[in-house]
Amino acid sequence: MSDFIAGVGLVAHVSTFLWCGFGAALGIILGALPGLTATMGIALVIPVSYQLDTATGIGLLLAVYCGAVCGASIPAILLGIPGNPNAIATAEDGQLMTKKGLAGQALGGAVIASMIGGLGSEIFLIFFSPMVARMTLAFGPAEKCTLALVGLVIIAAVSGDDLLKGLLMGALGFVFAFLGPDPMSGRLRIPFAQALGKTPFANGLDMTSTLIGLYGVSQVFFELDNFRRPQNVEVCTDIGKVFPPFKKILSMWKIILSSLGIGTLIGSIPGTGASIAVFMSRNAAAGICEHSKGKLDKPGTGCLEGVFAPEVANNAVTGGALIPALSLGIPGDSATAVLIGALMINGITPGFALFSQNMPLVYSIFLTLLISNIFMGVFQLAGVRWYPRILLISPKVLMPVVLVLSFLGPYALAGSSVSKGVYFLGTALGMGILGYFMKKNQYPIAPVVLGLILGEMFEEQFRRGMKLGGGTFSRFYTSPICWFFIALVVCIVGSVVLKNRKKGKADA
Amino acid sequence: MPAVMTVLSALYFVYVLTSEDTILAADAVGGDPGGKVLPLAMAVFLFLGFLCITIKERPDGEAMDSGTRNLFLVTLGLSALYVLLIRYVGFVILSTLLLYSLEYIYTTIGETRDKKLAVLGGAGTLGITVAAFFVMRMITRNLMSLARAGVLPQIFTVTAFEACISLVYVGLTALLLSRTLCRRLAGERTARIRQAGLLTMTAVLFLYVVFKQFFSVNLAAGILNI
Repeated sequence: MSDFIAGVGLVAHVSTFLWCGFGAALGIILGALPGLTATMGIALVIPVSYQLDTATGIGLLLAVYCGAVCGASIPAILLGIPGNPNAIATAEDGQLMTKKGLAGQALGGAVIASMIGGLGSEIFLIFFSPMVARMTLAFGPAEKCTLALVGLVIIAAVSGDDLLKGLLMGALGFVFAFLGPDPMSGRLRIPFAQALGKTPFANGLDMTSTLIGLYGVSQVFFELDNFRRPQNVEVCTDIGKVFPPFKKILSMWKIILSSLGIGTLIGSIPGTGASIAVFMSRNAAAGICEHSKGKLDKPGTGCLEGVFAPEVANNAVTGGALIPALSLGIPGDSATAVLIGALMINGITPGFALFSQNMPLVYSIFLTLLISNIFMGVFQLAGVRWYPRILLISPKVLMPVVLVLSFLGPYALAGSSVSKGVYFLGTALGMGILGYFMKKNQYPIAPVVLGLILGEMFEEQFRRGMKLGGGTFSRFYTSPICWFFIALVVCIVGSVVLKNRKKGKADA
Repeated sequence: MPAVMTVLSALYFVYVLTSEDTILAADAVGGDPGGKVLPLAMAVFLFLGFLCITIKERPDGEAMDSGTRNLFLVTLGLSALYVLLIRYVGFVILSTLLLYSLEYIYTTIGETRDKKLAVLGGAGTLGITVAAFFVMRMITRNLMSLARAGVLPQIFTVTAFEACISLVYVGLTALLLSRTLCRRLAGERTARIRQAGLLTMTAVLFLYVVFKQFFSVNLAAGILNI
């Protein structure tokens, strides 16, 4: 109880509420703009979060995350274009409702559903994450090393259509991490050590600059391809009545519960992400509607049920994805991968140590997530008539601002050293170009980020494990936990390979 | 991309192989495989993986058309100049030039550009932004020293309060310019320049206030350090 009170103390500041509110509003705007994602939003606000106290900084990051997931429903409903993959399943019914003149109800319903999903999944997060974290007590170096590999392989397997490309990008992330000093001896490993050894590059690649480069700068270059294409955006700004009938919401309780369960469960499986959860929840909702004896409309016909199910699920994913992220340091999706990086930049290493040594901070994370979800709902409901106008902002106007903001981020983290800032800026630009070519050639970015985050831990634990085994792999193959992780990887990778084969055959 | 990455991973392999091992003598006895093992393993995996993709000749993303390539090169060139010059020229001037240039170039794609007018607009935007920056700095400094002298309430010595005043100032300046100068420059020829200029000034000053005044980030002062 004293930990909880201490946690409340960490967030009970006006500034925490203000930053969470700001983050939620910013997240909604970022989520609403097609092309800008929750991941990019988190990467861009890392430098700001770094300037704030830990609880407030994390609150800001979580608020952007929740807001962006919810905001993606705006273009999905009004234009039929999802702001990001989280809102793919919302687009069909949302757009049909807009055509029927029910855009306001669809938008309002999406916000209420998002709030239910976000808040509901938080209950699971509060209950399960300490339990999962406690399990890590049994982990030695071999298990930790395998766990890092599991996270990377799973992200590599599910973040693109090509498994090999995902794995190669994960390996590239490891290579970036291995540019830092040797974790055991501390010796420099950066190429041209005589020249670069006296620069900030001696410590390897800066994580924030790399994240901002890969997600922020690369997006600006990537959008250039669309600038020369004709863009005729017609946004419906007359959205009508906003709140859906309360009775209608109550009648959907089965859909809400099933979507909440699916979203949280899928989110908590590392590497799966919201795009799977939204379709699963929509299918489950279709099944429920079929057995409702005509009381509920079937998704796909332009009904609230088709908006509610995916919107509850995609926000439930946020809480679910935080379970492995906070307790194991393994992200549920690319946004939580960046979030883990942000936590580490803020001096927090996810895992059991966090739960055993800094429980007040853990409670403060739960509380800021709660506040963020509330702000997200309130702001989006309050601005439901105004947010559609965001869609009128052209990416041509927006992208230069994103570029300057991306350059400002690494610079801000350099502190008082201007030359350090210039090195970080160079890293962000270099990574931006790399990220552009990766996106252009369909190489996933998330495995690179995760490889960079987990690389050091992977190497250190691998070498410790080898030392404990007297120079052999005995610690790895005698551990049942390692075998479990390997089996998990085989199952997930196998299912992805089978799915890709089926898809390939269907395409052929 | 796969061919380039194959070559790079081969070079990385050679680099790791020829570099000095980072293993400590005591750790070698204990069975530590050293700091070269995993980098070598990754280099081999990357080399073989990218080689496999290159041989299979999987289609890369569609090639850029010449217009997009020019846009890419201009953005890249301006960004590189920004990184190289920021320490000497400073955040305010360089961000204004970068933002204005990109805003103007992007929003006039497919339209006839009046280069002279664009350069004039850029110079005007830079002049107005720098002037607005100096006025803002003068206001905040004077308010702070007056408060320290006891003429104004002590709240004016609080950095966050000063930053709020600066934000209000930025908002009012943008509003004033949009109602006065921008209206006087009304016309189709100047529309893009007007929009790019106003957005640039507002964005640069806003970012300056947030990062420098709220968070005390050391943004390079450059030649404005007077």
